[in-house]
Amino acid sequence: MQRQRVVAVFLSTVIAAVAVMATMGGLVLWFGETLNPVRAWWSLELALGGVAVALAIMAVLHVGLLAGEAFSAAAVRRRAGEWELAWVRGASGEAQPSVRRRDLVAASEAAAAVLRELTGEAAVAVRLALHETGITANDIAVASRVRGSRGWRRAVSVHGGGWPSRRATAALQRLAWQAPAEALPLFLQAATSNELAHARAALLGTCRCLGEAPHESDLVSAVIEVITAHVGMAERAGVARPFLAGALTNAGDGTLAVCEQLVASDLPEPIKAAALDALAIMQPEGAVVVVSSALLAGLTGEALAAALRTLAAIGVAPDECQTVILAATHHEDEGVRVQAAHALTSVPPEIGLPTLWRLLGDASFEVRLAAARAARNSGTWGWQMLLSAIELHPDRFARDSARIASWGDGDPAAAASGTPLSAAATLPAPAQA
Amino acid sequence: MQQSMSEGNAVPKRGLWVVDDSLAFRLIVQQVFGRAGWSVTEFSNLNSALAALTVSPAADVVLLDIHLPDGNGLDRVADFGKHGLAVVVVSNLVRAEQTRRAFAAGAVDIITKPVDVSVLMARVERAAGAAEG
Repeated sequence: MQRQRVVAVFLSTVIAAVAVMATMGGLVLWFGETLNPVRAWWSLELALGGVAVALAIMAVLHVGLLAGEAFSAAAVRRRAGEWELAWVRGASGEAQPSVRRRDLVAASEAAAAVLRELTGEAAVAVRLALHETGITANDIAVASRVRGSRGWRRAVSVHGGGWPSRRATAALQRLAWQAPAEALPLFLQAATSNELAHARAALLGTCRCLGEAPHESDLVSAVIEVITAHVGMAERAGVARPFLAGALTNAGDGTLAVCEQLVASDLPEPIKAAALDALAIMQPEGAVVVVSSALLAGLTGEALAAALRTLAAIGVAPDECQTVILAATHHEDEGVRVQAAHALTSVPPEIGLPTLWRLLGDASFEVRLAAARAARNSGTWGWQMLLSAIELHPDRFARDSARIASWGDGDPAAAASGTPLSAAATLPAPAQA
Repeated sequence: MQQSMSEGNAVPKRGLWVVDDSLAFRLIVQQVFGRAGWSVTEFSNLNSALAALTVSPAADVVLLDIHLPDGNGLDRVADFGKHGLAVVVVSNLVRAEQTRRAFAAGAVDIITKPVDVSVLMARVERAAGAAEG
C-alpha cells in the first residue's frame, strides 16, 4: 500500500503540473492574440479553475487511498483476531482449523502472535497444526526466496547471504516466532543475510527453536554457529549486543549453555557482553558459576563491565570473585568502576562498604553516584554508611553524591526539600542486610 | 472491556481480570480460564481497567502486563491491590529490578511469557487462594 500511495502521489502531481502548464500556455497564447482585459481575466479564471480541479483530484485520490488503507488494516486486524482465536481454540484441544490458500499469511501471522505468548503442550499443538496445514512449508518457501540472477542465487545459497524480499523477511520473522524445527536449516543459512532484519529473524528463530526443543544440547552448537556467522559479518558485532541479549532470553533452558560457550569463546567483547546481559535478565540456575568463571579467566572492557553488572543483578558473588571485583574498582574505565560499585552489593558488607566509602570520593560523578546508590541498596549497614557519608565523608563531592542517593530515585520533591537527614527520614525503611 | 458469560451456574464464579495489550494473550486466558469456570474480564489497556475498578465488582485475581500502551503496569499494582485483587504480573521480559518493584508494590506473583497454560492456571489458582486466605 505504501508503494501504491507513492505512485498515486506522483501521478496526481503530474496531472496537476500538466493542468497548470496547459492553462498557463493557453493564457500566454491568449495574451498574444489580444490584450482585451476581459478575456485576460477570463483566461486567468480558467487557469485557476484548472489548478483547483487538479488539486481536487489529488485530494480525492489521497482520501480514497487513506480510506482504502484504513479499511484494509481493519480487515487484516479482524482476520488476524479470528485466526488468533482459531489457534487458541486449537491449542485448547478443539479441532484445528483448515486454512485456505488466501489465508496462509494471515493465519501464519496469527499463529506467530499466539506462539509468542504460549509454550508447552499447547504450543506444540499449534506447531503441529501449522505443519499439517502447510503454513510452515509455505513460509519456508517464501522466506527462502532471494533477489538476483539464478547464478547469484546459487552463490548465496552456498554462502547464506543474499538480498531477501520484504515478503521473505516477513515470512522468516513469522517462522522465528513460531520456531518450527524444520525451519532450522533456513535459519542457519539466513543468519548471514545481507539484510539485517532477515539475519536477526534467523538469530531469534534459532534461539527460540532451542528454547522449545526437548533436548537443548542438540541445538546449542547450532545457536553458537548462527551467532558466530551473524557477527562474523563486518560491522555487526558492535551493534549486536541489545538484540542478541534479547534473542538469547528466548532460548529457554538452553540460555545458560549457550551463554557459557559464548562467554568462554574468542568472539568480540560485545557478544560476550550480550551473553552476560542475557544471564542478568534470565538469572538461570548456574549463572553465578558461569559469570565468576569468566571473571576469573579474565574479561576486559565491555565484557568485564557486563559481568560485574550481572553479578550485581543476581546479588551473589562467590568469595573467589571478590578480588576481581575489588580490582575492578581501580579500573581506568569509568564504566567498569560504575559496575564494580554495583557489584559490591553482592559481597559481604565488611568488604564492600569500605570500598564503597572510597568510591564515593572517585573522580567520576557517575562512579560516586553508583557507589552511593550501591550503599543505599546494601541493607541496614549500607544505609547507615550512606547517612554517615552525608555528614562525615572528607570529600565534598562524596557528601553531595551520598545526599542525592539518600533522596531516592526520581523524587524531585524530596530532592528540592532541605536537609538530607530529614529527607532520609521520610524514606521507607531500608532492606535488612 | 469484554466479559465471558456463563449459564446456570449456581456456584459463584471466581473472577479474573486480564490487562494486556496482546490480543493473543487475552484470548488464551479467556479460553483457558473460561473453560475452568472462571469469569474472565479482559482489558487492552490500563486506564480502562482502572476505570472499571471503580464501577465493577472486583475480581479475585488480575493478570497485569507491565508494558501497556497507556502506562507501566508496575506503577498501578497497588491500585489493584487496594481493591482486594491479587495481582499477578505478567510480561515477556522481567528484569530483577522490575521483580523487586512488583513485589514491593504488593504483587503476589510474577510470570514470564511465553506461558505454559497449566503452569499459568496453577499459579493463578494459588494467587486466588492466597487472596482468600
